[in-house]
Amino acid sequence: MSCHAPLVLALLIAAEPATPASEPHLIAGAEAFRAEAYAKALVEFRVAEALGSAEAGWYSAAALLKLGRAEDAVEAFVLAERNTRSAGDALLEVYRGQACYAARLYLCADRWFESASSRAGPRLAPQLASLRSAIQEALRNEPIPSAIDRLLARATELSAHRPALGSACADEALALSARTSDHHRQAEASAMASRLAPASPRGRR
Amino acid sequence: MTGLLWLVLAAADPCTAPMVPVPRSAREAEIYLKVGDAERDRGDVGAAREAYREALARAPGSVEALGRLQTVCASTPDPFQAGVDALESGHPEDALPLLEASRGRGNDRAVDLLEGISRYQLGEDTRAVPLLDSARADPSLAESASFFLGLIALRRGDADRATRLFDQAGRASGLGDAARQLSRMAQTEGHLVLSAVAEVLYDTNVALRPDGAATTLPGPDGSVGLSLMALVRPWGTPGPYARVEAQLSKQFTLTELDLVGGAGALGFKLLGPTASLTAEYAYGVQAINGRGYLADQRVFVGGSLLTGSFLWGAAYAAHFESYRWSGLGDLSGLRQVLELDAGFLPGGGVRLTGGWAGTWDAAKVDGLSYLEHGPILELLWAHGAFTLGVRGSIAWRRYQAEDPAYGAVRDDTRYAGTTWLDVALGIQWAVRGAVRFLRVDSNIPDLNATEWVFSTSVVWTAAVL
Repeated sequence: MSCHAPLVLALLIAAEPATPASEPHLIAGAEAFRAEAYAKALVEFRVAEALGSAEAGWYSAAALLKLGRAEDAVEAFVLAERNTRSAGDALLEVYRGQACYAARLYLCADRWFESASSRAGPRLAPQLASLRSAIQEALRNEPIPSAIDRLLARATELSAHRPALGSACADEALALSARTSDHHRQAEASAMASRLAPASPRGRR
Repeated sequence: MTGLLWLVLAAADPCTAPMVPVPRSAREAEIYLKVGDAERDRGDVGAAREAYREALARAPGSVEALGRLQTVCASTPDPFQAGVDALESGHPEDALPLLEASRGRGNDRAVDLLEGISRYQLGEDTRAVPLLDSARADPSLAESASFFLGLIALRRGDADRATRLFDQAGRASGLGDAARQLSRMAQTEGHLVLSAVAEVLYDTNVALRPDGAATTLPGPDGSVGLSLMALVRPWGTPGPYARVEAQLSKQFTLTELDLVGGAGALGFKLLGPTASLTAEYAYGVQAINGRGYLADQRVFVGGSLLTGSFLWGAAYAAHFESYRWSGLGDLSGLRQVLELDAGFLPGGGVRLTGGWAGTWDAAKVDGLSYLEHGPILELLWAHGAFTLGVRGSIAWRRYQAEDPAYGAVRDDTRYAGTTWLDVALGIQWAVRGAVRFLRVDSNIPDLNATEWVFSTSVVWTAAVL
């Protein structure tokens, strides 16, 4: 062995990519989530986010759902999507659907359950079908125009301080208005949804 | 079940849990502080406590971390968490205002579930049902909400009353208790529900032999029984349903009394927050010792109405009975049963029911026809996984014509008592122990009889769809 070998090895080790600082917090959050200690899981995922983990945003949203903070979860899912585009995981899409459902954003919930269905296994698929049928039932029971009114009022209320959540409400109102024969407040919903949507990269330039 | 719910809703208290040392990191401590501030500002004191605690673990000398942790630990707790804590510590009345204060934060269905549980524990079933129905609309809460709705239905006694009337034909079989459990378990949510009951019992007087009868007549014996049931509710409840049942009872020694039975039923159930109405047609057959013994067509109508703490019930059943054995043909005829009762729900899982039940059995022969009526009293206590029940009744039975064998019109007083303990082992399994007593005092002393039945059973039920 050459006398230079230890030096080369040390240089190679040094050149190995370092473990991201966020990773121990992601792992701690996942362990807490598994143990159903959702407040602790949320804190660890938030710290991982602050240390640069993009995927931690999805897990924070799931923890918020488990803490019963449905609207906060919807908001966190929207923000996570804006950062990383896709969850890439059927279970996270189910969580997102559940958050939308609990926040009474039924079409949002249906969209995510439908998306998850395409990749769901034989155990999950029937449950998702049952959830989607519950959504249809809920939609039948709530008059659509009054739901649109409620959602637009909420979107307006949220637009200044929590635009991501407001955007989810406006999108829901817009989707619902398309289901009414008179396109109830569709123009307002469309304008609100556009206003609260994230600026596109072209727009930023 | 409730314990699991607490596990989901509550977590270890970071204000009192021992601090686990971690490597010092000022940068991480700063991030934890910021996360704590954000969660505190959102109103999640629990998450803020976790974050400040972690900050302090990484910067033990941090005055900021210590100060903020002390502040959030001393502050008024999150009303939702405080409501959970009050409910967990057995004070549902204290939980109610806290839960009310936690509404409007986007988790109202979870609040509905907890308030529904509180109301159930306080015996306010009328107010609990709509809250639990609302919680059931959330898929993540549906299982817990359905569990407590099932407990309320159990306390309201809909299935109990129906089964009492269905199974007064239990004079032919020892499976009355098993059928009662099947009916009760049928309240499980689902479009297709399957149930099975395996039972072992010891009966001191299988054929209700008179006290002074010759010992050659059948006396005590034990048996094992198996009952199976499938219930189909295509559109859930309210709506139509179909049910099929099969029963098998194998005696240990008196094999001539081995029983096989089957029944099919079609019905419709209406169910509202405070009222229910059921109408059903059923056809059942029984064979004893391998020979067709009894065919029974029955029509049942029953309902209940909840007003405040009182539950009012009425039920009627008509049995068109046809006995197949040549020596028993005279027993065939129409047997009608009517029960009116009122239940008092004082809270704490208690239901006290009092009522009056009557039977008019029009057999082919007047000497076998009778009119029977008398009071019933039942006390039920449901707490967590346990249900304890005691029921007693007195029935005055007068036959319509002289019994030629004794030269007198038979006039009986029948004293019946049952006590049972059900223990739910999770959602699908339950066990039960029961003791039943029957004493017949007749104006013809030779017909006096006494029977004790001791049974234990295991119940499995599952919603397949």
